[in-house]
Amino acid sequence: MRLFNSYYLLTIILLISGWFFVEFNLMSQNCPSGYNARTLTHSIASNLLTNTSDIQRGTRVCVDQKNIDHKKQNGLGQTFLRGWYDGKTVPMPENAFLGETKNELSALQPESEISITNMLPKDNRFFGLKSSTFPKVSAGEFHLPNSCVLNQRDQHEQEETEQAENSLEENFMDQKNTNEDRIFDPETNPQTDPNGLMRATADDSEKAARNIAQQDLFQSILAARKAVYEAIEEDDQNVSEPYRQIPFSALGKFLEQSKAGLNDLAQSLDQTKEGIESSEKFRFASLTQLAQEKTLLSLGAFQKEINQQSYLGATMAFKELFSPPSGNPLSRTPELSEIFNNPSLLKSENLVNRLILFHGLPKQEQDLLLKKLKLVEFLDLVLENGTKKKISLLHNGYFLGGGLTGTDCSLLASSALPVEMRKGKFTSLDFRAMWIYRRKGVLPMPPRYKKDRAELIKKVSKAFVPINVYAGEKPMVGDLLVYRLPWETSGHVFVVKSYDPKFLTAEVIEASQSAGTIRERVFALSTDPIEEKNRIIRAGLFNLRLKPKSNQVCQYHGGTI
Amino acid sequence: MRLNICILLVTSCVAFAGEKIPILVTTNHFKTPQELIEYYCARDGAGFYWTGMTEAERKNLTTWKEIPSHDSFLITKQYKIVPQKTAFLDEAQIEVIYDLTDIGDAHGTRSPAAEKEYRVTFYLKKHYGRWKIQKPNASQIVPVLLESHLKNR
Repeated sequence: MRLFNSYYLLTIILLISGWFFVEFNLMSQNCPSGYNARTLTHSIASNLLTNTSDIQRGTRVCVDQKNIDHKKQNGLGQTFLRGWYDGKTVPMPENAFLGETKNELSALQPESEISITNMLPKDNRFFGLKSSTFPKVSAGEFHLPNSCVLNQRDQHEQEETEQAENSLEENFMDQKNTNEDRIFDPETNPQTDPNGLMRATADDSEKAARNIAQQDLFQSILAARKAVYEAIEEDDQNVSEPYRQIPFSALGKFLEQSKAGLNDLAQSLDQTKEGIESSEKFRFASLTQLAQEKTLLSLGAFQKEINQQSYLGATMAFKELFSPPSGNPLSRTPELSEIFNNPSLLKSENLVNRLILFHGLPKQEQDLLLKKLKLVEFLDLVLENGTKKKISLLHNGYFLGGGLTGTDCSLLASSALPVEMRKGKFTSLDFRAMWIYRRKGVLPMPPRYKKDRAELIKKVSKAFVPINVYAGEKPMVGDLLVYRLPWETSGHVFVVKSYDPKFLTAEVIEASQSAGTIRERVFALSTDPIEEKNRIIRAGLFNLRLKPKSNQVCQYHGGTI
Repeated sequence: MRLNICILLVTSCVAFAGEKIPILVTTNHFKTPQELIEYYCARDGAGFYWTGMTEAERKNLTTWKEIPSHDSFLITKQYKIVPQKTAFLDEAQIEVIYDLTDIGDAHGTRSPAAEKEYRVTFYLKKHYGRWKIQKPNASQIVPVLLESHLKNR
């Protein structure tokens, strides 16, 4: 009995000692003030962190040095959080990186603060990190290591302070802009506070004026897009018209002419040193190559039909194949219809077909047509051998020049809608970078921009006011709402039609992939259930508000303000 | 004969990158799923599917309702098509392993790829005797360009 009691006592002592040992170790982590060293609770059965753990949405965690892993990849330092799984320290999944700041190992310090902005209950993993030391929002999936956790009370105060700081910082950044950029922003009024910084105020009449302005902007964005669509339709008709009267037997000559013209264009683009932006050169080289391939295929199909008809002609009357009354005038046989079909107007393939038709016409007809076509750029190229060459490049709308001066603001915003346009102009990643630049004064890294591209992003960003939806600022009609996670290739760019702050949903318009038109949908800014008390806005959202008056980057033409 | 020479010349021209790029097809003549995936990856690697897949390819080579649309693309040093291990009558799975470097766009902007190795499993199904790509679908699939093709442009 005594022995049993001794064992019992020993067990209790060991348990208590163990508890103290753990707590002592944690306390010896030297957490910053306001932080408590705490073991993360986890499910013993699965060894995974659960939703009932100490770490909840919004919890701030201080990262210990031993949990940070630095790596260098492609000349950029990357920071990873070292995971804690099943009691062993294991490297994080690759997608848990926090990103880089410069071409050296990351500046993430042991006391750097990260906060969890979202959680995925399904996998018990945390999703969404915001580091106060980085000028960007990074996100990834990871298991949180043992770290110092900010007290809930202190966390609330810290959030309030950060929001206030962000607001002051934004006003300060606006103040740094030149006079030309300092156009009237409906959110600000020229009232200084005792600290000498501008404060954002707006009374009801200004709010009403702002709403009207945004509605007008929204309408002009839609009108700009419609205008481009109509221009494509018209250009298609103009290049197709000469072919409608051409007999089938004569088409071969036009296809040969097209082949020669496209070869010449391809060579010019290939040998270009100056005169066309790199992205356009890349895209148009690819489109031209596709046009060459299609022309070759159609020559093959044409010849096959001619041979067949010649064979049939020995015993039957030769049948002339007429051009269809609408659609591609070359779609005269099943095989040719397969090659040309009828892609929707905004698709690249439609432009490819138009290139084939245009280059198939005699030079004289091309010159006459160039005066009628709406979507054509006349470029002065400088080739690698130093010679100059003029080319006319057909395009699918929104061909913005490098300087961007004189660009229509609604055209700039409208070009954000279709993915096709974004490829050559500003990707969703670029809009993200613009937002961050306007907020923080520095471009995020990654991505790694070429120098002149970086300058262009900075310049165009001045057309926008960055709205921070995470700080409670609300999207408005006409805003560009960009959804982009930096490690993915696709993003969405919406134009906001309306916003419901209660349910955190926005009615948006975006380009529809298949139909080539725009569609309206409801976009939820939060993926949390509606009945949830504290709903968190998903990571990766950047709201850009086009400045409502003409500015250094773009001007309004006709209709808006 | 002249036409064949022309096709040969163009094929040589488009193979300037060092990797052979198959010429555009508008009909599905692929006898095996492997052949179809080889064609797909070669065209994708040359940037054609990022620029815009043709309607003929979409209809004849896939079961997709729309063509993929991305403003950026993944960049790979090389890729490996794993030979099909199991074969059913009218279903197949082919895995492609990419050795990623970056995420990029036509402007030359680069971001590091989240994962170095990127695996895509293509699920193919036979439709009226022709193999077609069923999954990933258009919204899931990501364009992957070969680094060598980017340098040559």
